[in-house]
This record gives sequence, structure tokens and C-alpha cells, in this order.
Amino acid sequence: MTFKAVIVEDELASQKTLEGYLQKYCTEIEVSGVASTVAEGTKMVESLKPDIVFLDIEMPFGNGFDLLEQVSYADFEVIFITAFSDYALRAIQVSAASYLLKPLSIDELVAAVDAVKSRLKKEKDFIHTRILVENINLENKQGHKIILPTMEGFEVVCIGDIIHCTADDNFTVFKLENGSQLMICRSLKHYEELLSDFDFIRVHKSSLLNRHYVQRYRKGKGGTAVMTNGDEIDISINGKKKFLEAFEGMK
Amino acid sequence: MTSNTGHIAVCQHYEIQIIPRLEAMLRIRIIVLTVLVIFGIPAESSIYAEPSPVFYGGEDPFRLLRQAEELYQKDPGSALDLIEEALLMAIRQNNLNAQGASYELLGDINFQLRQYDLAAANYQRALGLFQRTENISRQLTLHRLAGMSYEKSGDLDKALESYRDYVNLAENSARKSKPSSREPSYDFQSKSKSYKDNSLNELEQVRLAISEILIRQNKFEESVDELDDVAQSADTVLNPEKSLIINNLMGEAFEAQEMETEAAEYYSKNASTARKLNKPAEEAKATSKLADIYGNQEMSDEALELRNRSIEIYSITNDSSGLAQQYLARGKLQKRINQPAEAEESFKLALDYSKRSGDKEVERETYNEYSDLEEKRGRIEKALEYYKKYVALQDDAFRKRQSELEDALALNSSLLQQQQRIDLLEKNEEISNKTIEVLRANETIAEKSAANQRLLIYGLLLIILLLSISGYLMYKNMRRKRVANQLLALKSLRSQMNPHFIFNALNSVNHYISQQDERAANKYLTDFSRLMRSVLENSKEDFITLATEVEIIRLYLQLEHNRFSEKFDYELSIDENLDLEHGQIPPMLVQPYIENAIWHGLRYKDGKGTLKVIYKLDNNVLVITVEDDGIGRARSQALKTENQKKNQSTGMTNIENRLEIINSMYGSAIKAEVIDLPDDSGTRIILRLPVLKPEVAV
Repeated sequence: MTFKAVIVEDELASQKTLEGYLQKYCTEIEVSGVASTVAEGTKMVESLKPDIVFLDIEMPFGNGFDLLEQVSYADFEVIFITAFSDYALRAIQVSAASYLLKPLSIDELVAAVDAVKSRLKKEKDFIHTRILVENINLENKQGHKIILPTMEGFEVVCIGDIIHCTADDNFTVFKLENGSQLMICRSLKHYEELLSDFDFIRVHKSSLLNRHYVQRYRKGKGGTAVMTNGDEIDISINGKKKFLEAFEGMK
Repeated sequence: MTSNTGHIAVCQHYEIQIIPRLEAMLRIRIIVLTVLVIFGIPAESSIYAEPSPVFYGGEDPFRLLRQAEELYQKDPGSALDLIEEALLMAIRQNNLNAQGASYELLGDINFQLRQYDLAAANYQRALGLFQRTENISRQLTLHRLAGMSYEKSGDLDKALESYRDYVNLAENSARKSKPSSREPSYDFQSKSKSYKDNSLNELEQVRLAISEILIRQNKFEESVDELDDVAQSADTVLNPEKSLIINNLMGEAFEAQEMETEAAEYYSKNASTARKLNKPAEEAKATSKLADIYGNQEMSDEALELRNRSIEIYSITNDSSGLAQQYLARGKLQKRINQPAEAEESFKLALDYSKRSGDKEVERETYNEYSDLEEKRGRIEKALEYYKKYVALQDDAFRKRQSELEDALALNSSLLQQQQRIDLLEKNEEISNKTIEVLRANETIAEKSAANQRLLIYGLLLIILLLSISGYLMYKNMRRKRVANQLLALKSLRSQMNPHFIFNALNSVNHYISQQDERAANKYLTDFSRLMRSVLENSKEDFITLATEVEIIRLYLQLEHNRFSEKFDYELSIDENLDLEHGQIPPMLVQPYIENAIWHGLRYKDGKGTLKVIYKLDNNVLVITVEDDGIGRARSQALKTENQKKNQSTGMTNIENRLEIINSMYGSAIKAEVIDLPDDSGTRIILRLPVLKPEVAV
């Protein structure tokens, strides 16, 4: 079984490098088109209906996200390629879509292609792409969705529903607004980075909380935050400063 | 001449009379005090009682004064010591009554020792103090005592003044009211330095003293008026005893005016009154005076008769002193009327009685007269014998007087020293009081100036505080600048080497590898390494040499051109006049402009563009031009999608901030000018750098 792929990349050298690697190391991938700009890429995706799009984020005349917004056909998995981009990378990570960093690592390329291939074989729901596009179009950040990988698969959670996250060894326990909790096989540090743009505060080495769910603050050495669901979260001395700063403008 | 002798006699008479009376008076005072002490009568009734009960911890100047009073007869020196102590105490306690009492007692001692000047002065001082305490009865006493002292010292005017003050005060206070009951009652009897009869009250005594002085001053009319006045107020008709004294003085007054007939009238009146009152001494005195007058008027028979009469009276009272005098007077009269035998008899009796009474003066005078008589009678040997006795007595009297004077002088000198000490004490106290006042004044001034100083100090402290605060703020500001500087260095590193550039560059190397173009990969990698090394090495510096700058720019252009060789060609031109080794420039100031030109200008251009980078020296100003013929800022911005804008690089704002900081830190004036070329045909950046001295301008 082969998968149709389209490459959207403005630099000729990069196009050639990626194409070469795919031919050599990912034999099930058939590169049906290469585009240099978003406009070209959009047309190509719509006409060729690929299974996978290798998408460079940083391009002149519109970036990778622009293409995702513009295409009418969205039944494809995306593998993002970027040299360096804080903002873009975080958005990608939230939706748990695949991405590759330049200069390309052949091993990573193969792993990413394998992961995408297995998803294509199983679900074909292209949830990552759809959530990514959804998030891009949503102004309200608390409405953004995050895909949390679980033992069984993944869980799509609205970021605004997360009350707080607690570290448990190398796992992270998410406490949600509906009372449920999720054990995720990623470190708290990972989510602290992902959610730093979403009003989440690392108040303790084992606690990350959503500012919007803080009900009360009790003074103390560091103090304690009482969340709307009644959970009490200890705040460390270092965390106190960050915590109080987050509320500074709201008093 | 005759009246003169009479006058002297009167004076002598008083002199003799006063001293024993004084002593008697003092004795009485001491007895009274002793009795008071023994019977526990409150000390208030003592003259030296303190009217106000305020004392300091048991220190009682009055106790000392009472001791001194007991002592001063026997040991005036010790008494003065005690008084001195009491005075000092009184001054310290500011006890005016005690001070007054001290001076009064000093005056008493002076008076007793016949230091009348000093006595008067001390009495006056005491008077002044009692005037301040408004103690009327003590003032009266002191006026009188001062008058007596002045009289004794021969200052009759002042004596008169004091007596008159007494009279005025006495009459005024009597008119007003009786002395208040609070005032301690003074015992006039005990303190009465009276020289007359006790039948007279004190006021009358003083007024008589005034008359007496007036007589001595030959102010006849005034004295007679005064005496008439006293006689009237004393009611002599009802008090014949008083009339005796007054009439006697009247007689003396007339006698002084040589109006002997009138004088004789008063004396004869007195003689009969005294007889009626059965006062032989007074009768004899009056009779004797009458005899004197008749004797002077050559009425020898009457004189002799009167003389005999007085002798008769004195014989009855067995008064040898009086008899001696009378016999002497009779002898003198008999000698004059040429009855030598009778005169001799009289003189012999006079001698007899004068020796018996110990009256040396009469004895001496009698010898003189007797010698004269014998000489006249031609009995030269007897005359010589009596004359020698007269001379011997004269010498005795002289010696006695002299030794008395010497004793008094010796005592005086020691006492005077003490008195001076006391005077000094007072002065010192005054001075120290003044000093205290001055000190207090100084203190208040000092307090004020201290308050001012305190204010000044607070002000200065405030200023220092403000200065140190502003100093601290300045220091902090400087620190912040330095921190900003370091941040700047970090930031500049980040902005200089856009991560995109770095990773894209590495990606390019990857491309050559994938193309198996070993040489190209190697060249690209080494160029890139050189650039990165250069950037890293100089990232800490605020300034780098122009040579380094040019090297970095050359490498950067080369690498970027390699990536986008189909998009643009570039020109790099360096002015030959530039001193590349010594010229200084902030690192990576130009690179972001070049990056911008490529990424936002040339990359969007259809077809190939040109990038010009020119370093030129113009009037000591380094002018750097970065010019592209890309699509221009406006079009570039218009082409950006929302998603691209979200991820806009902060390169340009960084550069602006850096320039601002560098300019403020180094006082430099680096200016960046952005010129949009017409019709979106590109952008020209002109950087102007005055030749920089890399010194921090603080």
C-alpha cells in the first residue's frame, strides 16, 4: 500500500533533500507533487487529494497554516517541517500533529511517516489536522483543544476544561471540569511548555493550574490556591511570585 | 565758753550712760530668749522667729542667730562666724527675714563695739531686707537703731533722717491699723536700746532724740517746736515724769541759745516737780543745773545755796558720784568768790567722794582746781603736789583711753575682716545670682540655638538622606544600564543570528550532503563555522573593529546568497579610506537590515534582485547603506497573511532598541534612516555612525 504525498516548500534545496530522503527511506510514500508557495500548494492538495502533506511553515506569500485554512479538502495527515518557530511548534504540539525540524533527521522522518501511516490505516478521522485548523481559527484560547495521548489512544480535551495538572512520577494527571481525571504518559514539564500561552501557571514543582479555575488564595509561606472544585493546591515559594503576578492585573 | 563746756558734759554723760544700758538690754534679751527656750514658748515669739515656716531640710539660720546672740558679748568673733554662716544659709534659702535678722545682729555687735559707722550700715541693710518683707515693727526698730548709730558716729543729719523715718512710719502704721496678728510681736522692752526713761514710750524717746540733735545742731526753734509737740502729745500734765525729761531738754535748748533765764525756769520747774514726785536724783540734777546757771550769771549766793541744796539731796541718797561733782562745783565757785578755805574744804570732800565713787574724771578735775587754788594762795609746794596728781590722773586717763582704743582697734581689724568677708559673701551671692541669671539666659539662648541646631541637623540629615536616595537611584539606574547592556549583548546575539538562518544554513549543508556534493558541503559548513565563531567571539563586546564587522557581513551575504542565489545578487563595497583595524562599530548592527532586505524584500520579488551594502567614510562619519530593489516595505507588509503576522520577527524593533541604548550609553548619535524607494521598487537603509569612542559616557 502506498500513500500519496505532496511537498509544500519554498526552498529548492530543501525540496530536493526531502524528496530524495522519501524516495530512499520511505518507499511506501509516493511524492505526487511539489509546490513552492501556499497558493500552489493549495491547488495541488485540492487536485491531487494526497494522504500526507509535508508542509513547510515558514514561506513567503503565506505560511503553512494559511494552506490548512485555505484548502477545502482536509482528509490528509500533515507532517510539518520547520527550521525554528516557537509559536507554530506549540500549536502543532497541542494538536499532537507530527512535525520535523530542519536540518531533517532521516530517523525522525521515518518515525513520523510510520506514525502517520499507522493512523491512516486505523482511524482515517484526521483529527489532528482538524483540531489544529480549529484552534488556529479560534480567538478564545480557552476554547482551544488539546490532544492528550493515553494508553489506549488519545483524548481530545478543551483546554478551558482543565482545572489543574499534577505530576505523578513521569506522568501527568489532568483534573477536568467535569470531575474526571486523566493520566497522561508525558511529563508535567512538557505540558507546562505547551500550555504556557493558555493562562496555566506552574505554582509548584508538581502542580500546574489553570488560572481561570482559582477560587481562593490562602496566604502562607507560599500559600494555597483553592480551585473551584474544592481542590487545594499548595504553592511553593518560587511559584507564589508567578501566581500572584498572574492575578496582578485582575485585582 | 561756759555753754560749750556744758554741751560737752551732756555728750559725755550720754556716752557713759548708753554703753551700760546697752549691755543691760542685751542681758535682758538673752534672759528672755533663754526663758523662751526653757519654757518651750514657740520660737515665733523670738525676734529671730521666721514668720514663714519654709525651711530647707533642717537648716535653720535663726537657730544660728540665737546662738550668736548668746555669744556675742563674750566672744564677738565666734558670734560673727555664726552670723556669717546664718547669712550664707539665709541667702541660699532666699530667706529675707533671716538675712535681715543676721544684719541686725551684726549691727548690734558693731554698736556694742562702738563701730557706729558699720552698725549704721548693717542696720540699714537689715532695714532694706525687712522693707521687702514688709515687717513694720522691725523696720521701726531698725530706723531707731540706725539713727542711734549715726548719732554716735557724729553724722547728725543722717541720724535725724533715720529718726524722722521712724516717726513717720510709726505714725502712719498707727493710723492705719495695729500690726497684723500674724506678725511676730517684738518685745520693745528687750530690744529697747533706750537711753532715757522707761516712762517714755519709744516714739517719744525718738522724738526727744530728734530734739536733742536739733539742739546740738543749734536749730533752736525747731528743737523747741519738737519738744513742745512731744510735751503736748505726751500729756505732761498727767505724766509729770515725762515732763521732767522734756523740761530738762527744754532747758538745755535755751541754755544752748544762752537764754539762761528761760533755761533756769525749766530747771527750777523740774526741781520742784522732782521734789514733789520724790525723785531726789532728778531734783539734784535740776538743782545742780540751776546752780550752774546762777554761777555763770555771777549770782554766787544763789548759786552757792543751790549747790548746797543739791549736796543735801545727794547726801540723803548717799550718791558719792553726785556728791563728788557737787563738791567740785561748789569748790570752783568758792574759789572764784575768793573763799579759799571753803573752797579747799569742798575740794577735799570732792576728792574724798570721787575716790569713793571711782570717778577719775572728777578726781582729776578737782586736783587741777585744788592745785590752782593753792598756787593762788602761794602754797607752791601743795600746788605742785596736786598738779602732779592731776597730771598723773590725766596720764592714766589718756593711757586708759589709748589702750581702749588699741584694743578696739585690734578687735576691729579682725572683726572688720569678718565684716568684709560677709560683705563679700553678699556680693558674691549677688554675683552668683547674676551669674545664675546670666547662665539661665544663656541656657535659654543655648536651648534656642540647640533647637535651631537640631533643626539644622535634621535638615542636613534629610538632605543627606535625599542625596543618598538619589545617589542610590542613580547607582541603580547605572546598574540597570549595565544590566541592559548585558541583556543587549544577549539579545543582539539572538537577533543577529536569527535561528531560522542558523538552521536553514545547516539544512543547506544537509542538502549538499544529500546531493553527495562533498566539496560544496565542506565549503558551506566551514564558511558557516567561521561566521558563527566570529559572532560568538564578539557577542560579548559592545564594539568590534570594522574589520571584524566587514568579515561577518561578507560571510553572511555569501551564505544567504548561496541559499537564494536565484533571488538576488549582491555588492559589498568598502571605502578605502576607512581604518578597518581601528574603526569601531557595535556588532551585528547592519546584519539585521540585510536579513530584512533579503527576507522581506528580495525573496518576494519576481526574478532576480540586487542587494548593495556600502561602507563609506563621509566627513568623519561612517555611512553604511543597505539597499535592495525588492518589493518594498509596504507591499511586503500587504502580502503577509494573518498567520505570518502572528509570527513576525522582532528583529527591527530589537535594532531600534539597541540603537537607542547604545546612543544613551555611549553618548553617540547613531542614526538609522529608512528610505522607501519609489513605486515599491525597494528599500534603502542609511546608517550614520560618527567615529565612535568606545567609552561609556556616564
